Amino acid sequence: MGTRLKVLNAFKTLHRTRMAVFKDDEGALLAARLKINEEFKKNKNETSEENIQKMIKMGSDVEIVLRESVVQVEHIGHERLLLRPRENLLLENVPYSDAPRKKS
Amino acid sequence: MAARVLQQCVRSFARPSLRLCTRNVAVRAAAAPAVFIHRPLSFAAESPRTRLFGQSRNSVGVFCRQYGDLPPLTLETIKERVMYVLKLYDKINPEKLQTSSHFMKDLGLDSLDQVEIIMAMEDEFGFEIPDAEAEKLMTPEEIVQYIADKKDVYE
Repeated sequence: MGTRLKVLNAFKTLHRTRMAVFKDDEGALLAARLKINEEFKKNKNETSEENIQKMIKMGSDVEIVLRESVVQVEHIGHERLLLRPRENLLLENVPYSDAPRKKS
Repeated sequence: MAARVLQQCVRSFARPSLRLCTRNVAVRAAAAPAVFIHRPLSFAAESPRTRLFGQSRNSVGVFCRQYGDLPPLTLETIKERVMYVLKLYDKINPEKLQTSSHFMKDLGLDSLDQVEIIMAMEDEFGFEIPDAEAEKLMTPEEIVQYIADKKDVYE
């Protein structure tokens, strides 16, 4: 049925985002994987359609937050950090405009 | 056109290079399934040929094109890789695993675990499996068949 497919889809996209966001960080990857699996298994026997939809929405919100707001930073040597931004997080180099022009 | 140029080089080179050239042409003209058998020949032929061509590069030039690709898939190698990935999955007992073991009935996994397994297969073989078809793959044998279908592997 459709809902089941949506739940599995949400599960898959969450794991794919986890792999992209925590790339090369084995500890964080494992912790995130266990957390995702735990949360999904906790609500495995939910039957109310409304609750399932809410949980699917929660899952996709978590995925968006992970993808857009979490960046990886690596410790390099002593007291130095290296930022590892993903492609979609880099912005165009335009000067900041307090009152942006409205697109007509 | 390549055959004509090769004929010209044949007249100017000794007999050993003629054998190497025609064999290389045969390799390129053969269809993909035959390449796996001919490939060791073309590898053996390559170093002496390039040495011979290298000697008079300014007169003839390089006109045999080489392509790079992964080694061709066979049903055996697909099966080995699928079983290897499954044995690495922590919720599967490697002793109980066989090609015909059903994930849900024999190995006691649920649909979420099956999604994780299919994701691991996607990462191993490097191509996406759509969800609608992924949820039908319930045994390692079915996964091997599906990958062989998608990658055009016959035997």
